[in-house]
Amino acid sequence: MPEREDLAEEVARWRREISKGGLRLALLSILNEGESYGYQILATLQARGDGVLHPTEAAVYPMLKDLERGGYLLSRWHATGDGVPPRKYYRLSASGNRLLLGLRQAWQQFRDGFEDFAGGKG
Amino acid sequence: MTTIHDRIETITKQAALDAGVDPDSDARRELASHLFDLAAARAVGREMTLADVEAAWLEFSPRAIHLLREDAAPAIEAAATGAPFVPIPRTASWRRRFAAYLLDVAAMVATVVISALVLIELMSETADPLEILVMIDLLILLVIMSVFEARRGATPGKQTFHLRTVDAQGRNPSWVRALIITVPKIFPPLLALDTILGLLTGVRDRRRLTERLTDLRVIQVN
Repeated sequence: MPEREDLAEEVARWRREISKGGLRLALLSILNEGESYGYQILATLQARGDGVLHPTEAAVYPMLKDLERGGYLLSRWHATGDGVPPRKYYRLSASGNRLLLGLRQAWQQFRDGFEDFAGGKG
Repeated sequence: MTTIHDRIETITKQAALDAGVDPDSDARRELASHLFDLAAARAVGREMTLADVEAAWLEFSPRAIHLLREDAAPAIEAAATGAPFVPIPRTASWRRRFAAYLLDVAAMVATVVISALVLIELMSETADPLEILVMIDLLILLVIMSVFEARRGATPGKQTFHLRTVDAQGRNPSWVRALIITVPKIFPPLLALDTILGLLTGVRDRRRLTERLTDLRVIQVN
């Protein structure tokens, strides 16, 4: 019989697995509200959503690069001066907007469909 | 006097070099921007100091590699599954590589001299054998060094100095690639040219031209 710690780790692992897809959706949603830079995006992700994603730089920056490489994000460098290093601002491209819509629809279907199982009716 | 800007530039450029990434790349600049914001978050309500930068870097540096890495997929996967993520190993310094090379050269010279003396003794009847024998010796050494690179990922000199030659996936070089990067080592003028061209072309990532062409990298493994 699995120990309590094993079960907790199993649940934690499952959370990480489903948060992988969720992070992409959350990141695009934040950028849908306006352009932003890595640190600010990370802080927003950590502050919102009741901490379900609790991402770190290890997940956010590679995903930003991945989305930019895929053409879903556009970026520009903005220098603020006063000794502050230039920041790379990201924003959604037209493809990024379409991807966000698609992900939201998919998420809605997933959540509705999964309610039968997750709600404990079965 | 070192300013905060200077210190952030120094830290992040060194991190980029260690990761084999161009210090002038967007990724490095983004790392600098992120480090600044982390340090600023520590100094809320007061003026930021160098100590804030140092403290932020101390905490953040293990994750810094994720901002520098070009291939994002492994980091995303590791973050999602909780699997340990192996960061890019530290690219070996030129000084350490040169020391390893000197050791290899010493071993090669000793081998050539001893074998040439033995063979001259045995083949004293042959006309003008020295050049031919040295050439044969060098070709044999070329093969032996290539075998070391391909099978163990390092020549004896590299093994002594805890260096390894790896491809982009962290594997030992293929036979052909091992041979290509070994040829210049057998002919010092070619090695000098290979190194200079490596320094002049492309990014400052401590690679000889042949290493860049074969997508190989010498890393420090300790």
